[in-house]
Amino acid sequence: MTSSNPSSALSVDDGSPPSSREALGPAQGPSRIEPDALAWSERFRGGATDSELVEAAFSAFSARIFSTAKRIVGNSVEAEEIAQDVFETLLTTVRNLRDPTLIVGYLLRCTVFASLRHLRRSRRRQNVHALASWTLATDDRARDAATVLTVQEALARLAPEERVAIILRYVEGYSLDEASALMETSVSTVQRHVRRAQEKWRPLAENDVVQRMIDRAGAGTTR
Amino acid sequence: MSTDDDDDPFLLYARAQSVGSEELERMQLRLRARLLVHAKRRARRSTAALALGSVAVLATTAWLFASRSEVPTAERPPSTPNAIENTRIELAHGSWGEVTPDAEIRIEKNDRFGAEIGLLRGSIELSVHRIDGVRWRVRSAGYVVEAIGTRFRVRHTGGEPEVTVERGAVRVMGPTLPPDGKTLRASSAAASSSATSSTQPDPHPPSRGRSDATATRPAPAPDRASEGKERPPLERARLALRRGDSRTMVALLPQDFPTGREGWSAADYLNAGDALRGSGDQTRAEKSYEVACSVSPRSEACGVGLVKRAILRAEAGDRANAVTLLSRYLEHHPQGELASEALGRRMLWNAERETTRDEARRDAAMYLRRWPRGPRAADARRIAGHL
Repeated sequence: MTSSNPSSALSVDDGSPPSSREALGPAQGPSRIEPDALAWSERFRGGATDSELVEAAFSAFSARIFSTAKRIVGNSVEAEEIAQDVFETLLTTVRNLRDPTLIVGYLLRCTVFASLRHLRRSRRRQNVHALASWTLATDDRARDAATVLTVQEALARLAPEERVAIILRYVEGYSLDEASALMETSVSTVQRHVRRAQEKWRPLAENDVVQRMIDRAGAGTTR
Repeated sequence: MSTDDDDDPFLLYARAQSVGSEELERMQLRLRARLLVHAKRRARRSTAALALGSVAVLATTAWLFASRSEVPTAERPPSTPNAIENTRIELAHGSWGEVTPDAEIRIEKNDRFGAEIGLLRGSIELSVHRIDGVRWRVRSAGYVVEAIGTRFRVRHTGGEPEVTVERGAVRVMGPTLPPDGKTLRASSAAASSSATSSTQPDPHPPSRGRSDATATRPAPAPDRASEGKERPPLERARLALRRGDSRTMVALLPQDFPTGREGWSAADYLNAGDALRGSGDQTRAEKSYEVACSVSPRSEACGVGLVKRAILRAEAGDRANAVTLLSRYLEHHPQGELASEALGRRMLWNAERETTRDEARRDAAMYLRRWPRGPRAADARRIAGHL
């Protein structure tokens, strides 16, 4: 089981956890207020206990949290640990939420931070050598034969922050503003992570899949 | 969705990593249970848990205070379990203990492999979780009480310790007991009363590798000497693998790896296979993927291993076996993350051989039904229409 202490578990570069009390405004994280979030905020204001609130949040948002975590870290086992971290954190911080309608943004930021921590801890570099050969296994007619494996292995070459920036921007489809809010960093930093990812992939550009990833990332560095 | 979308590798990755309803349901079931436990534990900890280091200090202070008291320790009333003065200690894996104020304990070991606590006086109550490879032991006057997944209390008496088992069972080893030790079980009728004692064989033996001969000797010295030594190469290889150091891992692996007797998880074998493949050792890589399946045939790691083995077989020109492996994957993991890829590959490989064109057509039809916009939809249409 992993730590659920928000101050230690959820630190990024500057060591600060995603704050539930401060700076969780509409500009931070996905700003659209969803029906589920509205329903949850009504329970929050209606005097539900912490456990009830976490249970309600779990029922409403766990699928999304799990899915985001799985795409970031690339496997279900760690994604489940991350989801557990996130909801354990919510249990201790739920009363600090200033605006409960923004619960989704808060949970997603917790997910991003917890995922970053997992990635830093288990930087999966053992697959790095495999990229070229897996792709060579693809014959001409199977044009996308190893696409998913190639993407996984290309992502494995990135630093955790670069990987998260790429996933949020191009796999999850967030805008630059949203991705930067979820990572609690500036837009230019997210753009820098994306550029670095492209640079790391460039030596592999003879691989068609990697070239398409570079192109796609190049086209999406604007808002 | 446009054709451009089908060419977007990120979108393909997103689809491959999407969460199926079954997987989601299983995750929610497991997590809900864990969160419930966490919430209960958190509520119980409202009086604040103390760290182990401070416990030792507190226990020593309590002992010093008791020794200066006019009332001899032996005549002091027995401590009440869960009394408010008791000091709670947190152990790994959510296990915990409570030390009475008159206790003097020595923490001999406390890490993720368990804890060993020397009880010099007073009593300690432990509530521990049974986890393979994790030992919970209390030593008292040459006796060793080892938990078998339980809640128990040990009271120092100078001779045979007074052991109360509230839940589950413990094994007691000591100078006046038979070499196998003595298994004490909690009475199911009175869970919080003293244990019934029996010498019946223990259906849940303590963790593997325990040396009873050493443990039952009178006044045994802490048997941590061997644990302090360097870990065996295989264990170091596994640790290297887990921190992503594949080069070290490959160097540490014995020549006969994998045998399946390493005690590794399926995921470990899968990662070891990747590392071996990266080092150019295709044969052992393939064997490692194979062992992942023998360790845990239904696991995700086994499924991924099957697909990777299929690719390796295909690379070696053995398309027939490659197709068989993909069929195994599709049979056991019809909703697996790599299902579309496995079916797509099988379709293409079948299409290459005259003798399996019919299978290719069936695969193509199946592929189009399940993933009409999948990455191989164009190939499937071509095969279904023209072959």
